[in-house]
Amino acid sequence: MSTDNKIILPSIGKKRVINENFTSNKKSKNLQVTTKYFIKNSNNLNNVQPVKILREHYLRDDIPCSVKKCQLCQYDSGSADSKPILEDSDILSNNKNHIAVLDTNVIVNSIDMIENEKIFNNIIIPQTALDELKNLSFPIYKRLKSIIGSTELSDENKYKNISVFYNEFMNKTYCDRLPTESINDRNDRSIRKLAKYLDYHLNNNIKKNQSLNIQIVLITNDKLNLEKCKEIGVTAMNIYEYIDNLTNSEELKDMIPQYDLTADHKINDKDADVTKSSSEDFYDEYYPNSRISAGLKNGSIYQGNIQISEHNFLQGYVNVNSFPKPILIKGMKNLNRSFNSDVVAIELLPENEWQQESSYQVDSEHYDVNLNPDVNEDSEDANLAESNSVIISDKQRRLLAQEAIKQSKNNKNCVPTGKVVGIIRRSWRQYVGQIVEASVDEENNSGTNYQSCFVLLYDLKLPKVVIKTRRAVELMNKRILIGVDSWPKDKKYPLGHFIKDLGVVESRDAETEALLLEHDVEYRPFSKKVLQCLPEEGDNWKCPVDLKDPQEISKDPSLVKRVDLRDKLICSIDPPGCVDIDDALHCKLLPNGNYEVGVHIADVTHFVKPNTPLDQEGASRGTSVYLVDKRIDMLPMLLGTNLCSLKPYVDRYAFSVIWELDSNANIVNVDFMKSCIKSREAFAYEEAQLRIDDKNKNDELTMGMRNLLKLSKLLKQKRLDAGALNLASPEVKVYMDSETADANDVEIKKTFETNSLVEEFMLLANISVARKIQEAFPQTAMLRRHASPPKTNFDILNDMLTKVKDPNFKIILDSSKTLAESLDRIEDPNDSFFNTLVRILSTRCMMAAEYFPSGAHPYADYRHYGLAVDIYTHFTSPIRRYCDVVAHRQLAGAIGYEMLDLSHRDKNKMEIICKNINRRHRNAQFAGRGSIEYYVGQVMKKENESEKPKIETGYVIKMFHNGFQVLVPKFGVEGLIRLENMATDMKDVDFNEDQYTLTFKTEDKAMRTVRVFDKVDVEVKSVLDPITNKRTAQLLLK
Amino acid sequence: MSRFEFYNSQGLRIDGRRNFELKNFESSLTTTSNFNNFSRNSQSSTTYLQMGQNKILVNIDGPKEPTNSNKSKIDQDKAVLDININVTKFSKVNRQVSTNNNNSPDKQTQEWEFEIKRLFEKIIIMDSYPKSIINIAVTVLQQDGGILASIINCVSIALMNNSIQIYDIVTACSVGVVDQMHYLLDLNHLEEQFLTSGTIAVVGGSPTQNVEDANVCLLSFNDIFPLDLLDGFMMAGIKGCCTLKDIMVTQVKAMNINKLIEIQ
Repeated sequence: MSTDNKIILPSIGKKRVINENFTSNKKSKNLQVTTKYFIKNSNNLNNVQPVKILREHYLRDDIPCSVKKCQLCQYDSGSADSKPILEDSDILSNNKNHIAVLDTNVIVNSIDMIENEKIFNNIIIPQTALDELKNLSFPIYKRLKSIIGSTELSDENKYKNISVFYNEFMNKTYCDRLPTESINDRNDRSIRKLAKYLDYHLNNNIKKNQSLNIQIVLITNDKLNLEKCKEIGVTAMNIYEYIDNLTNSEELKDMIPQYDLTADHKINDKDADVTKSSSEDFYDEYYPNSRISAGLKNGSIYQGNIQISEHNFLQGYVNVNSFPKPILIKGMKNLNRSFNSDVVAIELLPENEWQQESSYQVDSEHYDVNLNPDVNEDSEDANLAESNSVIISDKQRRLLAQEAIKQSKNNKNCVPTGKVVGIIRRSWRQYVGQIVEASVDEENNSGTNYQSCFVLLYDLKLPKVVIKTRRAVELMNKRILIGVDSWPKDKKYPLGHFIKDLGVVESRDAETEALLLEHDVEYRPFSKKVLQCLPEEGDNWKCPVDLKDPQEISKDPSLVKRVDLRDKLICSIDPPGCVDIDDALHCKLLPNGNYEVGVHIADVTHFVKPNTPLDQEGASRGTSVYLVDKRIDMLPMLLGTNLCSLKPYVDRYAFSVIWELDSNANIVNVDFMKSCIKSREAFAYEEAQLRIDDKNKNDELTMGMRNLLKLSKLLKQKRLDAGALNLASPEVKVYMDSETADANDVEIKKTFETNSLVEEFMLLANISVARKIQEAFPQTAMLRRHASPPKTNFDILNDMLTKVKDPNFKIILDSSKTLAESLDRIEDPNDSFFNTLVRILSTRCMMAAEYFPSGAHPYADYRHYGLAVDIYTHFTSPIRRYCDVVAHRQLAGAIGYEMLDLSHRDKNKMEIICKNINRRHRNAQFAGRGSIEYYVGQVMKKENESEKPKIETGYVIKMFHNGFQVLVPKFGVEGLIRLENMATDMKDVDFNEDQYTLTFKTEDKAMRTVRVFDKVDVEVKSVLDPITNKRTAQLLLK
Repeated sequence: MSRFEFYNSQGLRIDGRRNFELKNFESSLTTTSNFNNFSRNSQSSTTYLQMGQNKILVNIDGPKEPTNSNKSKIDQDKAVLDININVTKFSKVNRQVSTNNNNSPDKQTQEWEFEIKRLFEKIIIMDSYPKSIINIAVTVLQQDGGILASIINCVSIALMNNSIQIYDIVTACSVGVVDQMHYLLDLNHLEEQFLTSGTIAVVGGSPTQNVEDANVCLLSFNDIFPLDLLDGFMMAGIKGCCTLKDIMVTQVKAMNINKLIEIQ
């Protein structure tokens, strides 16, 4: 619990027994509590003052062992899941039943194996190890916590039983730290003591006559620990021995992480390791922690999130607050083993080593793929300047920093360049990838030998990973899941291990699963615990016929506050085939000439009560994920598509926002209420449009819809006048064959006036709700903001526009209004798509919108830049977004319908929720795009078969030294056209970076110049990349 | 969010107690004055309470005739209570550097003084001591959560030790809520820092844990407290207070028997 820099005074506490204690539980009335306390004197870096830490530590003797067969332990019925769970079903090769006790180092290295269902089905985790783990790696701790308790395995009636033994609180297993002992040694000793105790407790308990014959096996990778276990007679093994002893050892061996191979002797042969290093090292050693923290303080080292360039995996950027532009990190040596989105410590290089941003396009896929993974070849990096080791003092570095700021303002060519000197936090997770065929030696495959091979990760911004496996040949052409273990400084590529085989490349299931895993989307079915929270009636659940029925009121006391709106003419308008209808509308002309407009949103929070497992699951999923062929729901089907869905002709609970609007669509009055509604009709966008346009229909519902349309146009105009942006992104829809579920056509999404009708009223509802909840909960209201983009984001786009198209073309960023106006001005009379293209490109320069609790920012920063409103939230889709669920609860609290749950009134908890849903939202978008990309590839593959080359119009959007990027609007795909595919002779190539032109000689010996924004004809072909096995659109210039 | 797990799946708290288990409670009578003056009019005797790691000294002076300086406060019909709390600078995690130089207590301490004064004015039978003043001096030597409850308990014991007439014994206990479901009694410093918590004081309630007789006489919350949790909070707190009363009564008895033996 304490780190080494804490000075610990000798313990002055004494154990003593007190006679009085109090528990509510009669069973343990005679329990004796012993107490021990200690005083620590600690120093941390930020606070020079000594700190007196005072903690009591009560030792007890009623900690249960959780073994089902044990007759001696008693369980506290009061607490959540304290019942015996451990079975003795795991069998060693010597036919003995056993239960494994894990040491910290095993958990850290083999967390993937613990999650696997073939091994470690009955284990005990000592509390000591859990505490150590928490300090060592919080993400792993969280993963472990999520599987503790029993989890159902795919095999029925079998469970994965993991229990924590709270050995620190048990008087028989607690150990004091000896004066000469290090904290790690003490922890190891207490784990050994626990194993010894359990062995005694279960097998040799003569006094109480218990002998269950269950072997306790302590698993640890620490040699010293193993030896000491032998001394005291505890069965202990390292992970290899253990797996060897299991009956199903063969299939498990591949999953052992590689880290262990070296870790073992690193502990013991530390001295030897130091001496032999230096000469073989591929990368520079990281600075020690003390130097980094000192450097961060005095301003010579900076800290930031590293973003690897999408076009060049050997180049990354770190955003540092004190610099106007991100700092460039270039070359493998300077990137120094960092992964994309790691938090790193960087140092600026001397000015003469500053470089330009590379205009080469480099993928990890095509970058020395043919290397032998076992050999550490030192191929000289083309981009990397020979580092001349100049020693710079901290003072000079600070001067350098000022220079760097000046530089980045004046000169656009040379950018301050830095170097990674330490990793503060790794972003390692599980990655999807596939084995590089070239690295596998097929002949040498006898099935028993391990061989190293490269795994190319799905995310091309990441380097290749070396794994050792015996099934390399078998795994070729398959998507696999791997974990990264370590990246020693003498290895060019990181080391990892195999976790799971997802299936053959290009099969729909494997690709979908890969996509979901890669974006960290939880796609497993809902657990039993979650499903138990649903109403018992299931599909037969109905709204009470009479809201005033006393019997119903006694069941749900807040029913009296619900308003009956079943007489209103409500309808819903959604995309065709929509099953989760979460919004409906109505409009009525009032006698005074104003309009009564209602937006009715599915009342999800009636079913999803706070702090239930259902709520927690929803909060952690954060959003539904829409793939082309699949929808990953945030809430169980029953709610999403039935009970909450505002289906037509049935009574449903809703949360209604009702405005009184005057004929100019100004809000006269707004009212919020929980209600009960009955939708008269569910329209698709097109249907609704037809109904409105149909002059013959003049019933009340149609009239209402016409009024809605009229009002929505007014609202839209108002919004545009205020400066709302009309940005574009190439959105396509994939049409699926209904029988084979294969994609067979792609089309850009069509929009109708009714799309915007619904959108406008949803925006209005969101804004009104945002105001209301912000008023009621000024610190914790769930809001959404969109920050204005920094000017530098538009530098390159503006430069391209003025130089290439028209000197008058300029995007002015003073406000969203000027931006919108300047976007309107940029118009090419010969090409109507050009405006859309610029809009697409400017969308990419924008900041991402984010959720936040209102206390996190001052009011002025609540602004939503894109919509040009001062306050905004998401309220209208609670079935598929968790933000809306929170907003619903807060609004219910604000109107006094029910008490707002505490977690939504706590600023810290709200911040955690927001952080999670922001991340989930982003991941869901990426997954959705990935899915579309895959299916567009499939469509193109089909069309390829028709032999005729497909010529499409494309636009050049970015230039490189060795090619250019082209966007094809028809498919919404982008692709790189490489120079080698177009030019015959590399010598004639002329790249003018200032003018964004690339001149080269084509096959028919004519010179050709390509400029950015050029409209080009390209041949679209779908190709399966031989190395990545990824289907990509290959474009050929015509 | 804090990384601490305040109430784990096996029902154990961060320091190894279960949710309704109280901290170690020990009180003793340390006196600087001589025992021979053991009477209502004795000069002073000091009560020391250690409740977990809370260490508190209470010194009661009086009832006595007011000195010149506070003669103006005198009441012809009943006694006047004067409470003074001194939280030592070394009692917390960090040594406090005071900003004000005239040594006046901070806002928090003033509030405690006020609350305790109001509470004990109703508990002590003030009519028995007309025209006199009772000085209660509290010194907090060390604190580890639930300090207000500890002070109230210690004052209560000190009143008994000093044979001042009271209607009944007051006991107090701090209560915290985890995850809006679990109630923890007698918080330590860490729990108090991160949880929604409050202090409850109870008078009455027989030693045999007859909860119905207990009357709540003080309820103090550290931050915004959700109304829907109040019921559970009160139940837990009252039970804790009743148990504390048992412990206090036995300890006071034992203490005073020792004292008697010493006197004889």
